[in-house]
Amino acid sequence: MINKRLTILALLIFVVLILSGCADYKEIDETTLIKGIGIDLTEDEQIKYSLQIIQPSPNVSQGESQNGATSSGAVTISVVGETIDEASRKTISLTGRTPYYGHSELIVINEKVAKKGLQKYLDYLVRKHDIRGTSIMVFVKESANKILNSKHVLQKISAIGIQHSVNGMNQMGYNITTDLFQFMTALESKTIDPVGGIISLTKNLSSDKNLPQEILASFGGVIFKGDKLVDWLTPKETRGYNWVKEPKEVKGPVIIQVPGKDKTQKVSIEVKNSATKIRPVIENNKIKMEIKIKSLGFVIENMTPEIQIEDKKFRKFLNKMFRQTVKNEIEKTIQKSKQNGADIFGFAQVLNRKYPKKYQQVSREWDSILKDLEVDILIDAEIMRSHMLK
Amino acid sequence: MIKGEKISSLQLSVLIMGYIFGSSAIMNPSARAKQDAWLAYIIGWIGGLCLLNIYLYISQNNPGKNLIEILKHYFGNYLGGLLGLLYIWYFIHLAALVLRNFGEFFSTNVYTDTPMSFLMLSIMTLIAYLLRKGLEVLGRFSEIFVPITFLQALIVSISLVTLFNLDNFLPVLEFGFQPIIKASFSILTFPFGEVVIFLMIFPYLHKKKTIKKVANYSFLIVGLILLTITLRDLLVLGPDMFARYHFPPGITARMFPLLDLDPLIDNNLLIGGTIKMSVCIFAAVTGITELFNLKDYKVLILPVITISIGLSIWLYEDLFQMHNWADKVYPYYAIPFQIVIPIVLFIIIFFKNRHSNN
Repeated sequence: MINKRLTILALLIFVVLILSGCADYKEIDETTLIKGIGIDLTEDEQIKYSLQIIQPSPNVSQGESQNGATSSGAVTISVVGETIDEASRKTISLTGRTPYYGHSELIVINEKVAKKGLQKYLDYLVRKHDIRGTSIMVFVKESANKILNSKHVLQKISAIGIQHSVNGMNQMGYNITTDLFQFMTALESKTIDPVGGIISLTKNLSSDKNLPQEILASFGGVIFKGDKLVDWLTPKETRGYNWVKEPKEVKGPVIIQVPGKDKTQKVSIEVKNSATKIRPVIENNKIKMEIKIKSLGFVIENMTPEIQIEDKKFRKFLNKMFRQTVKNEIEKTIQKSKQNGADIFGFAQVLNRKYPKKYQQVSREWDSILKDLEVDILIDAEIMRSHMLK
Repeated sequence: MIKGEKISSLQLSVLIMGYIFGSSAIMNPSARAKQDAWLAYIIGWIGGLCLLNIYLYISQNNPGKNLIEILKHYFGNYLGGLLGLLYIWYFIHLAALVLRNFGEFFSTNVYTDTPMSFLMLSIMTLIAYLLRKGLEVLGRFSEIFVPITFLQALIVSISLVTLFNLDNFLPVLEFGFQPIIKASFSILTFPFGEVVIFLMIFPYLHKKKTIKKVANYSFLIVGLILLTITLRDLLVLGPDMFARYHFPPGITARMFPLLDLDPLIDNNLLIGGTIKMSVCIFAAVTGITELFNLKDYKVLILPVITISIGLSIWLYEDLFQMHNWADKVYPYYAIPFQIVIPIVLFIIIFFKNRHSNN
């Protein structure tokens, strides 16, 4: 009998212990849902940490508009701290809630921070267990806080808007989508240097009164040497990078100037099914790189009304120019990469993968080898169709 | 051997698979070999297969006897008893190590604020219940849950196929053979060599003849599943990040866009870990029963479990010690239990057989 009673007592105590709740529970109204993270430096080199938080509102569900843009707003707060963790916890003093990073989609980093060496500032974001590696990273010349606070044309939560814009511009090749994990992988690797996308404020050209003077737009990219930002890429140079590293993303247009008196005569070519291969070649103990690009072009716009695409000569000219333009874009980016000694194309990686022994011999003086590395660009591109018109 | 416990071939098979899968679902010593992890893994796997067949040979030549009885039979009561005692220590220690892995994983990845000892206590309560019901219940438990773990592992692997980057294999043999051999040795001792514990379980198999087939097949199947996990982690994370994280599979599962797959990994560890610890503790208690000629092993379950919980908390001060132990010390610590003693036994049995045949 006593034994049975003891068992029941023990069970009851156990039940009380277990049913009293989880030790690790997180109530949704006690957490802040973070969508965007911004990192700036103050003048005395402390971290100015901004968080874009979804503003809790009781009637979010009613505010769904038809184009899928939610009208629930976001608020961006900012605190200063010595470390990112301190700053992150300090936000509790403003919101009264613990930050929860599981939904973050965007990390905005100011130029100054990136020039100081980014690895130390990213450590927290990679180490913390609830941050997903799939957040997009963008770099800005303005303060990250200002960017997060700027208005996006469609999205009320600018972090989501920026993420969409950067992803979208990647299609044109004019921006680079790098997520936190890809960035860290490039940082950890000794044979490739990281790149990143950018976002900036541009003048609003529309006279719509609902839009502010300056709106968010995403063009261009940045290149790193190690974990330090060294240079900015123009949109065309960014596409030069994308031709080589993300050929599937690039959809064009490649613009070709038609010679003649009229300077406005141009042809736009849409690009499909591009594929790239980088191959190291060793000739007489000298390292050379060979970039091979295969691509198909569709003429999508012809601003020379007097000539049709059907014309064989014209097509031949277009094909030649198509190859030439792509080649020029890539060459410019390679030039920039060499200037800065940043191996963003991963030439060292390619060499190491194909000829590990050779790379080990030269790995110490790789910087000087990169400076005058010969790169052959072979382009196999052809115009295939011309859409609806002949 | 304890009377009255019997398991079927299928149950033995799922037990072996669940046991090997166990904590390897989250920890992968082959990551040290960077992009050659797969090669290290395969070498370790083949080595493990050889070891398994040595264990099988020992068991088949001593039908109905468990490891402690075999040791006593060949080494005499004193030396055999001493070796048996060492093995019992090893089994309890192993249970504690797995328990600690389990606790560390959950407090790093999932329940960051819950006290680790509470997590350990909860799982051990379940194991105590499971073992009190006997080996057959453990077998049936595995029959239901092990297929689920494999399914989950495959779901995670297949859904990540689009993120695979085959270039992560290159360059092959960048750092030469030495790191590969080291890593493959780690793989050999954890998890494959740990199958030595099944010398305590083989005697309970109902149909003795199927033992060789069952063990080898289940070893190959679980090896393939673990190979897909290794390949997946390497291909998704890349060699540098693969070596950088504490528990790569948890991160790999999070790479899937817009979907959190990591509960599936947690599940795998939960099931695999339960089976592994249960087998360890079962082996330890039956070993003690055998060594000291006791009648009932069930009274020993709670004390042994309590010891292993205490041991697991006391084992390391921190996570870094755990990784250091798993990477650097454990492979050598396991040599006598997994390799030296079984091979000595194998040689003795082999020559005795030849002698009697002549």
